[in-house]
Amino acid sequence: MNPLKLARRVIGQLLYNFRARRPLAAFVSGRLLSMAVLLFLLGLAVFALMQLTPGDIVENYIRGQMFTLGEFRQDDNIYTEEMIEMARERLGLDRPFYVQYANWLRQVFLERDLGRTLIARAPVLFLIRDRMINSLVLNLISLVFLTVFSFGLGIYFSSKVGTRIDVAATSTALFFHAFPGILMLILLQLFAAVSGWFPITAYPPFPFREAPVQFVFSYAHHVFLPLLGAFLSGVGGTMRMIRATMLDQLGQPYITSLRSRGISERRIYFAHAFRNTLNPYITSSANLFASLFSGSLILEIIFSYPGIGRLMYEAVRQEDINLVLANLMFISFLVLVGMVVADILLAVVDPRIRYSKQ
Amino acid sequence: MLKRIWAGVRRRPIALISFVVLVVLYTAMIFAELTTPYNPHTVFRDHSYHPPNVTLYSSEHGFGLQVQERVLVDQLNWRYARVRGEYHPVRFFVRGPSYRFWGLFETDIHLFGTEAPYAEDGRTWEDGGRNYPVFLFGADHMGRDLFTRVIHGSRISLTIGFVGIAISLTLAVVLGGLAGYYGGMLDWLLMRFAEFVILIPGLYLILFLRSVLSHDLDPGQSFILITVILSFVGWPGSARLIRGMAHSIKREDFITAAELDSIPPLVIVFRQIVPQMASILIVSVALGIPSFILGETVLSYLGLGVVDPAVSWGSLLNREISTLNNLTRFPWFLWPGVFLIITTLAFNFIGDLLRDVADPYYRERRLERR
Repeated sequence: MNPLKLARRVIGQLLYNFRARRPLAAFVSGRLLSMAVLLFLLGLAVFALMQLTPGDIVENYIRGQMFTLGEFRQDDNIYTEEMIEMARERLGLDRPFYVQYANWLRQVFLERDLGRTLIARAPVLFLIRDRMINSLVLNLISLVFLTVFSFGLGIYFSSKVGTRIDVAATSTALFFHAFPGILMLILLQLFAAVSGWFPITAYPPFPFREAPVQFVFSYAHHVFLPLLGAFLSGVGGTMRMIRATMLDQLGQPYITSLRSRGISERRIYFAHAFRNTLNPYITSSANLFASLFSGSLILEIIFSYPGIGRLMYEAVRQEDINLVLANLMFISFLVLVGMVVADILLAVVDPRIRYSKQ
Repeated sequence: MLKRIWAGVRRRPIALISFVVLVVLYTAMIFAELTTPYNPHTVFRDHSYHPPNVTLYSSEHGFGLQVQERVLVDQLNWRYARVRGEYHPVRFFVRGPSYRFWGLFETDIHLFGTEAPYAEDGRTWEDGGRNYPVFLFGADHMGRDLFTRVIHGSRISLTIGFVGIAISLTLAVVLGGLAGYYGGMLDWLLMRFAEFVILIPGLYLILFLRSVLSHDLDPGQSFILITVILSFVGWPGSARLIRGMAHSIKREDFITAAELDSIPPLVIVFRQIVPQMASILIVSVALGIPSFILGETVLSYLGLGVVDPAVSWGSLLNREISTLNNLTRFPWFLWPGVFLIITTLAFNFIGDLLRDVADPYYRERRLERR
């Protein structure tokens, strides 16, 4: 038999056994693999896009370096063609984009170095790490609050369907869902400034190490209003979704049969209908996570919260492509991790998922 | 469909109100030069940060729209004091700065304004001077009428939604429809690509595209660029929806009949399958427009979208002008925001109604629960 065919058959058999014995592990590893492939492709696409307009990057680099590096210094602040070529070579932009990408990957994985920013020459990793943690904390808090409240409210109002209070709640939810988030944040900041009850920035003025306990309280105080804004614009959509799925579930025949067996209404709600609303929620929560990051970008800028969104904005303003690139890759990585976590959670909650995907 | 929309409107009059509000806004936008008292670049020197000056009552003129004169008393903080007894009634269809109406003919008629001459030389617009300014919404940091700028700004803000949704929905219908109809490899590729775009947080992707694409653009180019970027980020969501629907419609008998008639596949997709989704498409238009308007606003607010000399609601809210300090002292700077809220709410209310009407299960569910 052809050795290639044999190898394929052996590997296939191994994979099949692995899947049969450990469905969950196989599922998780499959998701992780697809995540890695997606990230790789994303990077490739980003580098290819950058290839389209290298002129700006190079000129910007020269302008930034004119005063610090000797070879770029000129009396009349005019840069020549040779200097542009030199800078292009130094940045590695003269090579095709896949070579650049390979270099970047090697740098990231082997040397654990994301390079330096084009303008300030600060190490990117150093800049990103703290900001990443800050953003992650903010968005996780926001996600937890959003989940808890939208489930609570969604289930409560699904039990009140058709009554006046339900109509009022759903229209309020629609109102907040439709309300422009950016204006909500501006108005809340204005409120903070006029009333003086809340700080107008979202981050304590001292670091965590100095006084941890104090920091936590101060953080809660600072972050309350911005989180409220994010919460109000987010809760409408998720609450309506959960209410709709609850109603869908409650209309199913199995609920009627449960009721006919005299099982208490409370048990029907929480043990049966509720469990089935988890499924679509977790599926959409990865998208929710991504949109939270998008929303927190504006939040971070308006309330000057030192997160990755503000870093991204500053990088874009300064046209610092190295920093923008690293930011984009990291944020996509985070969202992808969130998606994979959601997938795994889903497989844990709902065993149908992991068997049906084979 | 129309009958059911009407029934829905009767149950929810807010949708009708929203519709009327939108019609008014769009009419004002189309006739922007006429409905506003000045041109967007008419500068009143020494009137920076001038508060709104239209009042309803004075002892001189009784009830009626009129303008009270104010003088600048504090040069540093831009504080103005009212001048007692100096009122000018607001007149309709008065002469103002001249403009080319729709670029067709030269005229200087504006919907409202004052007829009182302004400054010492006593000349009106016709003689090269200017009348006393009406600031319905106050003036901005350069002494330009904010109402004029808001209405002119709606030319970008209100059209970007339609242009954007047209582009992104066309993409979504073509790609989603083809993927759903053909299935197989094409379906797999297109849907992976769509997921790929979805997974990157939208604003980050927009900012990245904005930073990669060229910076030195004139207003028209940047308008197109912003629209294209926003549509590129916006299409995958609806493409997935349309793909799912096309996938299920494909199994209907009339599609099989069309196939047996050997009608070419492309014709089947666009003449048989896509019209079946008309109601869903209308809903996604109504619900998609606000997100484009907001996308433009966010970009312009950050100073990465529409910039001077072009005006949009976002660029009026630009964070370098509408700083916190300015907003607390000159709260009328929030007027573009008010218009933004009204527009997005109106589109959402209408879209919500349309969705309920288009969803055939909705009514049954309601009846069942009653």
